Amino acid sequence: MSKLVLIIEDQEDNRRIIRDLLTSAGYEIMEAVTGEEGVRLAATHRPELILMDIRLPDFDGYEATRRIKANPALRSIPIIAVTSYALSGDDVNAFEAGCDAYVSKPFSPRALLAKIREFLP
Amino acid sequence: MKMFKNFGVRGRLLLSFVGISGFAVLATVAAMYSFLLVQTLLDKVTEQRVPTALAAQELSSRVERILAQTPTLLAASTPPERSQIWSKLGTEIEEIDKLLLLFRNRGFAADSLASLRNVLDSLRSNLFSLYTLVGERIVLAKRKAILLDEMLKAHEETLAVLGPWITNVNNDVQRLRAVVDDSRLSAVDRSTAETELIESLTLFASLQQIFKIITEIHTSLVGTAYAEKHERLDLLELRTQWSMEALGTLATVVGTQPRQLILAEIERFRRFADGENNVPLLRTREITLIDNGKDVQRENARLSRELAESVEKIVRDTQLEISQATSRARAVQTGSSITLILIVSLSLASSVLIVWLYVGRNLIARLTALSNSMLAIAGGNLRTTLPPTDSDEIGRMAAALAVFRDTAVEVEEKNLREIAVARQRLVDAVESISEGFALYDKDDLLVLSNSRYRELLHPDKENIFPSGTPFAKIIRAAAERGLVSEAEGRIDEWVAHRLAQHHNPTGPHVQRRDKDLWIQISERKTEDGGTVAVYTDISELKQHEIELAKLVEELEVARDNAKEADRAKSKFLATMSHELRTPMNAILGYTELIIDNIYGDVPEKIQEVLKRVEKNGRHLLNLINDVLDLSKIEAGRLTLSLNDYSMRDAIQTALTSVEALAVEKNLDLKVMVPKDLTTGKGDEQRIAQVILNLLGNAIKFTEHGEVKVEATVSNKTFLVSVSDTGPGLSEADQKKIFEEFQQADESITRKKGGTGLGLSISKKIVEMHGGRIWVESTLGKGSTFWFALPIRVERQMEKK
Repeated sequence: MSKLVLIIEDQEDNRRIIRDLLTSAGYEIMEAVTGEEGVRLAATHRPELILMDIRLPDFDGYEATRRIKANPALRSIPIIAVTSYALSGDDVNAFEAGCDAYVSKPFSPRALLAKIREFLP
Repeated sequence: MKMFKNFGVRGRLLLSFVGISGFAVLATVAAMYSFLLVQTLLDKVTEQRVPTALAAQELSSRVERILAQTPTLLAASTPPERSQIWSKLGTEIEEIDKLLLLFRNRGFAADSLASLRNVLDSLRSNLFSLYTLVGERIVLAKRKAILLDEMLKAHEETLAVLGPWITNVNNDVQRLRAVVDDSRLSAVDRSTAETELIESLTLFASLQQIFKIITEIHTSLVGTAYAEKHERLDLLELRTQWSMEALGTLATVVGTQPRQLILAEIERFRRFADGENNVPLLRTREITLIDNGKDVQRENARLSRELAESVEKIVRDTQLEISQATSRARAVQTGSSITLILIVSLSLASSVLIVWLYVGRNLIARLTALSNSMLAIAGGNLRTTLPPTDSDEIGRMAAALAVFRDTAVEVEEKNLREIAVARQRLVDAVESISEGFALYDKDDLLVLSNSRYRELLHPDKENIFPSGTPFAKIIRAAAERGLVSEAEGRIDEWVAHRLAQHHNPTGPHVQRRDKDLWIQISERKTEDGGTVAVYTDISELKQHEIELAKLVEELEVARDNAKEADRAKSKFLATMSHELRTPMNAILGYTELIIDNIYGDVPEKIQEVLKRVEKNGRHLLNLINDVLDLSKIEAGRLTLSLNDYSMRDAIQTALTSVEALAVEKNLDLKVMVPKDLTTGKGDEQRIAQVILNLLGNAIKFTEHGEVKVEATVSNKTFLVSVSDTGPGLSEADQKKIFEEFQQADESITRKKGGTGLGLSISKKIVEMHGGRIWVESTLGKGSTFWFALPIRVERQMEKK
């Protein structure tokens, strides 16, 4: 049984890179383009990990994270924030919103995979 | 008074004060003398007489105690009791001796003391006789008790023989009487029995007689032992004698057996009645002793009375002396009071006399005259009469006043001349200034004005306002003639406003007179309540001002535009930072995935090219990041997040990022950071960025040798250095290396893939922490980059 990872990302290329990376690594993938869709899919499919982009078209990734973490049934799902440039201070905001880890853009696929494996060995 | 003239006022005043205070000194001396006398008397009473009286009373009470003890001594029945009472008495006597010593030392009257002494000596010898007497009495009493005891025992022995004997004889009598009366017996037997009965009856009578006499002797002897008086003793002794003789007579008539008993009894009684230590003798001596004791006690009582009298006399004498001393003290007091009152009255009288005669008549009158003249001169009357001059101080003062008056007359004349000159000068000066000038007095009437004022404010009229014209009238005339454009159509209102300004000037104000005429009016109150007004033509200035206002307006528009542009730039930066990175992210991401064969195996040749693509992509990304960082810092939009951090951890983070690079280039990477390096406060990530940048540069530019990072603490500052064994920097390069887009060698920049912005960003980060960054380097030997950072940064430094 392969593990389900939810990708919330509005950028087509980024989605594809992550999809190709994780599929080849043996994970099952589910994709959401907006924050709202992401929160909905998280509730209905209960993924084992969520990759959360911070810049989303409807509301930002912090808000999406807060909504997911507010649901007791989903609280234990680890969320990795994909922040913009590392020194922007997004990392602090990500932890405050309830994210469990972050990788900063531009991320190296290898580094991202290593980070995911910390949560899903 | 004439003879004192030579002394001057000071000397004479001094003399009169000495006169007055002389009495005060006299009064003080008299008072002190009387105090001394009273003190001496009181001292004598308190130091000598009072203690003596007290001691005498104590003496008397002690003697009474002794007398109270004497009956106890007399009644003492055992030697220890006697000694105990005697020792108590001895203590009292010693105390009395001490008290006597006290008396002697108080210089007490010798006769009183001698009689007291005699009485006490008698008392003491009496007490001793009593003591001796009691001793003898105790011995006698003891002896008498032994004798009486022996006597009682002997008597009981006799009775023990005599009692049964009488009983036996009585029994014989009864028996024989029965035999005689028994008619059944033979006559012979009965006559024999009768003879025996007679014998027995005789014996019985003798024995009864003996018993009676012995008891009598014993009783009288015992009585003797307790006889109260000599007469009673003699009587009892006589009775004993008689009984003894009766017993002797009885012995001659009784039979052998009773005779022997009687002789033995007589022998025994003689021992008690006549022998050595016989009872009467002992009792006689005892009675004598008791009588003597009574005599001694009587003597004691008499001595006690004498003593009480002596003590009473002493107390009386003392009281007398005290009352004498008191009345003497009172007499001294009264005497000195009278003397004092006399002296004080004299002093008062002399003071009044001196003040009235001399100070009042001579000094005050002259001083008043002088003071009147002075007041007249001060009031401006320089022609007043002056008091006559003299040789003393007041006379000299009068002379000085005359000189002063003459000088004042001279000065007054000179002043009048000078005032005229000064006034002319003032008018000339006021006339010569380029501004209009007008002066109003405290009633707002014109005092003076210059011609510039007239041509500026009243150019239309030849007629000038004369001095004394009210201010209100002048301005109203100007307004009514149409000289003041700002007053047109509202003259009353304007005049009221102008008057208010004039009365309470708050600073210069501008008045518009005409289309092109502006006058600045500066009004100030003078000290005497008047007003000075200065009128300046500022028409030209006013024109410039209008032009300037237009310019300012244009500039404000320009500034708003610039601000708008700046906001647009910020937004552009934010957008660009995202927009530039997003495609880079895709490019780098895909490239990495291809290299990692995610999309199938890639030939090695393509792999190599793709790695170059990746490397260039990363460089481009770094460049973008640095440019954006720098823009942000330049725009003042970078905010430090100040938290507690570990410098050691920051260094470690940076080291982890460059370790692989150092290993790749075969360089030694040395770290010298103390384990217990203190915790700091600052933006850890930014500090790590600086260290990473320095380390990255060092590794990048060094081909052989080592790169070393060190951190120490000195004076509340972290001192971090990164040194390498690279090519080093020329002095010129050291100066500009921290400037933007500067590297030592442009060609190397390209080769090494640096952006040339790292050091510039590092410098800014360090400076935002309030720190300093610098380099020390020698060409060909290597470089050391230093930065110093306050350990605890509490707020971000503003951009310079």
